Amino acid sequence: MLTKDVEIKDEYPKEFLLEKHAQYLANYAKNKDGYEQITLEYLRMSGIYWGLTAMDLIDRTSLLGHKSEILELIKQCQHECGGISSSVGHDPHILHTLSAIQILTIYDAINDNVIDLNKVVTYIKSLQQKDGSFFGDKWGEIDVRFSFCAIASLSLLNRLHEIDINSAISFVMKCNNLIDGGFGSRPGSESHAGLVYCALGALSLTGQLDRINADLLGWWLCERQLPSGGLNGRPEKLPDLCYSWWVLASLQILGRLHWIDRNKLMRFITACQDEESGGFSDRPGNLVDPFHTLFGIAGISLLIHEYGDSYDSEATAVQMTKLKSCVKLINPVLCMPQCLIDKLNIKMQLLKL
Amino acid sequence: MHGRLKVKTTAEKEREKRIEKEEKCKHFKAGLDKAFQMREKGDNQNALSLTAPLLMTNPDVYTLWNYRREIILEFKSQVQCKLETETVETSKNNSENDVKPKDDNSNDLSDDMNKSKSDETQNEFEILCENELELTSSCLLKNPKSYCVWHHRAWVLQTMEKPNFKREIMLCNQFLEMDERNFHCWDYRRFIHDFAKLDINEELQYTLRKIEQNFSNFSSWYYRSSLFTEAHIRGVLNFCDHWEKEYNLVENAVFTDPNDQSPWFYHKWLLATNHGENIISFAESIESNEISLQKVIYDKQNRVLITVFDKSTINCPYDVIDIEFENEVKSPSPQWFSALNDYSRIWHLTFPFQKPFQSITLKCTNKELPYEIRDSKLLFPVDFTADTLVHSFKDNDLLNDSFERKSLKKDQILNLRCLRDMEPDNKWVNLALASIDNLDNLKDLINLDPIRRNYYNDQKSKEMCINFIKTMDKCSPIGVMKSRGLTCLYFGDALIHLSFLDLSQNGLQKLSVAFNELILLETFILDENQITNISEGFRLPMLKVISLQNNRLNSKSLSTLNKCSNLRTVYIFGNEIGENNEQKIPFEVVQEEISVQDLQLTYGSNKIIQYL
Repeated sequence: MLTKDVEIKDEYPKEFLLEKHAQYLANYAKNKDGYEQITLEYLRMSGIYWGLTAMDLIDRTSLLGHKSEILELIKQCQHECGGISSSVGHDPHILHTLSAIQILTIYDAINDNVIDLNKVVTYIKSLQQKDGSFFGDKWGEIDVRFSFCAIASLSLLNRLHEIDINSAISFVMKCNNLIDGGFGSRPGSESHAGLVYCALGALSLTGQLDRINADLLGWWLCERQLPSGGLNGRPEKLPDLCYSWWVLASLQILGRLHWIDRNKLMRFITACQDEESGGFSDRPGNLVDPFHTLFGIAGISLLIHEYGDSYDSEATAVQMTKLKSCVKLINPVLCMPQCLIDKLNIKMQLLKL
Repeated sequence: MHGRLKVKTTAEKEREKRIEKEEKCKHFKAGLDKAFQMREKGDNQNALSLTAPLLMTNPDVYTLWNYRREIILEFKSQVQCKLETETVETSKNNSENDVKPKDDNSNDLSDDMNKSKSDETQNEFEILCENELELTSSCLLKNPKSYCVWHHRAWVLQTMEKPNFKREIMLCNQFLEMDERNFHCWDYRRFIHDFAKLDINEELQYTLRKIEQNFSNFSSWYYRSSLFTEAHIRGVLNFCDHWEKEYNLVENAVFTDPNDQSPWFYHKWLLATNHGENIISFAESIESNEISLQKVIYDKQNRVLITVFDKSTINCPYDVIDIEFENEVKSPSPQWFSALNDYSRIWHLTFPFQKPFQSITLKCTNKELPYEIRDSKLLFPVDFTADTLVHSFKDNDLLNDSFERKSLKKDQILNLRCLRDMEPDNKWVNLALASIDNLDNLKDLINLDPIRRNYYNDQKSKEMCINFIKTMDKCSPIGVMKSRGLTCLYFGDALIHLSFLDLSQNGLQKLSVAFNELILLETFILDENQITNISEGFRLPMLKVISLQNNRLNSKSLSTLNKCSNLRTVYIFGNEIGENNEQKIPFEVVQEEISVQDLQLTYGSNKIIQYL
């Protein structure tokens, strides 16, 4: 059987192209009538969060220069029920509610009366079900992603106590699988690295990580690394750059980031850059987008700041030190710059080994 | 934008493509705007046919599905209204008939007419739902991984009167034929299975068929493991009766393709269930909502009280302490310190008074604790002659979780060994054998699978720690784990009583926060490791002496030791730390070399430790 993987060709980029990414994201934000912006309008709020966070990590938010416009959009997107939609005309959803709160936090505008925070809290509370799970919106889809969105949103607003935390966690734990220690989207679902991240984020923000088998799950997570250095989300799948975030952040929450090979993953991440346009794609040679651009930069941030200072060579040491000075440290749970989380003094549990 | 290759084209082609795209885009945008306008006006006529092609183009526009659901619900309530009026009319007719002289034939006829009329109304709704299902099938063919579409299909099914579950299972079969790993479809299948309360044995049969078709289908192996767990818990079957057969199945799979990881996960799971016997306790362990005290340590010399729990909390669960003196009881408000940062399993406090006391009572009055506490009140006598008293309530459970050493029958082990002889470079068989047979396999694994070397090293360290803890003299305050290749420390809470620890000649790369658990440690020897940095959060409250000779520290490293407030002496021979350190350091830095023997002679502890 052939391993499902990609080949990292020597011609793929090796250096981190910071300015190109800044340019790519700035252009993307400006080009509001572009094909992609219109067809992807249904996730615009999250899109803004991806671009803004990526820019903040490389300290280039000034290039975006449309803060007031975005705050206005968020205001327009809050509905009577309190929830926030992806864009004007679309319906409120917990995914976009979290994105909006993250954007407001990054812009330090959470208390500027852009949105009615009490209503946001009421909305999130209204989505919690008897078994502790959360609906994504009033139409009843249940997913551990929404549990994370609810808990992360309320943590950022410092109002976590307003939901039933015990039942919320009991639902998250029902999504835990014994075969690999991972988490699926609902009780009984197969483990998936993205959902592992959501579950661990929820457990971290509520301080309940001791419930899980960190070694078993950590092993499953480091088994996601393929010979190319890239990470996949489930066994026997192709690598994808976004797992450089879901898997790495999960391992960092478990205190086991060093279980993957840093040099190999760095090579994979840099290979996913587009030298011409800037930005990152899911795999080397594919089309770039803001989603993968954020998770490429976020993955690099964890690898340079949190992996440790033992380098195999002088060259690696030089490369890492240089990157450390231009990419900010990211928080593994909330996927936002750590300095903001420190300022807000948000408590979370992180395991250490 | 997953999996879309960037293709280089000529400028002309690119322009053509762009125009085509823009055209499509305009068209889509116009349709979307129109739909939103109609929705706002409440003008829903043709809305279903207008939004269908938009969703065919872009099935992830969740708001359009919401709009359709609103229309469907409206229609449903109209139907129900109609049905109700029809029922009222029917009963009215019936009561009229009661009064009228009886004419059997006409009565039957009008009943039938009414019935067919309500059937027709009901049918209209079912047809609407059928159309909706058809739309979702078409959308799924275009994008089989759209969350919105699968959810809409589930919603329609729950809204219908008579859903055809058999057809839904067929649909799942079809989509899993196209992509056997599509987790959206597997989840939908599980939804149908639960919603329709289908036979669990049929699902077991299905997973077996899928596995036999292709051993490399982790989704099926996984589903099979979860079905067995569910069936065992529900009493549908006893998994112990099936274990052997399952083992044979997976053994067959790993012999067919030893490099395929999917069956190896199932193999590992089977081992963990211990011939099926542990399947329930295994499942229950994660559901436990209880927090319990594992250990209390009182150190007389330092007047330090330490509590160790099995779970972390943000505040020490015991918020009230009663201290019993000879003739009075005091309840000072406790100032607990966390061993780690915000959350910790280990909490310690120092009593401010010198006067001897007889007992301590710990109480939990906190109602907001995220767990149920096993003992909300505990009394500990501390009237003893030793220096340190340890109350142990529960042996560290984690010690049973050594490299998950599991048992197999002789011939099963022989088969695995035989497989390794045929495939000596196969990591999976070596990994399986490491958990059954011989930890030395971990060494080979580092060579076979170097990208996960840190994992294997840490697991080796875990075994070393377990062996050390199992064999150590629990009454000695001195711990020595020299040259064992340690890269990290596991189960530090089993070593809290130590006041002297020698970890020299190991493979440690940093002084991690995990060491913070060693609350009573006064002398820490870490010579000849590869330590490059000391974690920001590293903090040992009783630490007086630390020896870091022959590591890889630099001049910045020392200031992070400031958080150890009792630290007096640091030995740093053999690091790249300059003499002229400008930072203010409240401890003595010794540049001269000192031998471990001398360190032990000078700082060795003779504390007496007593267990209760």
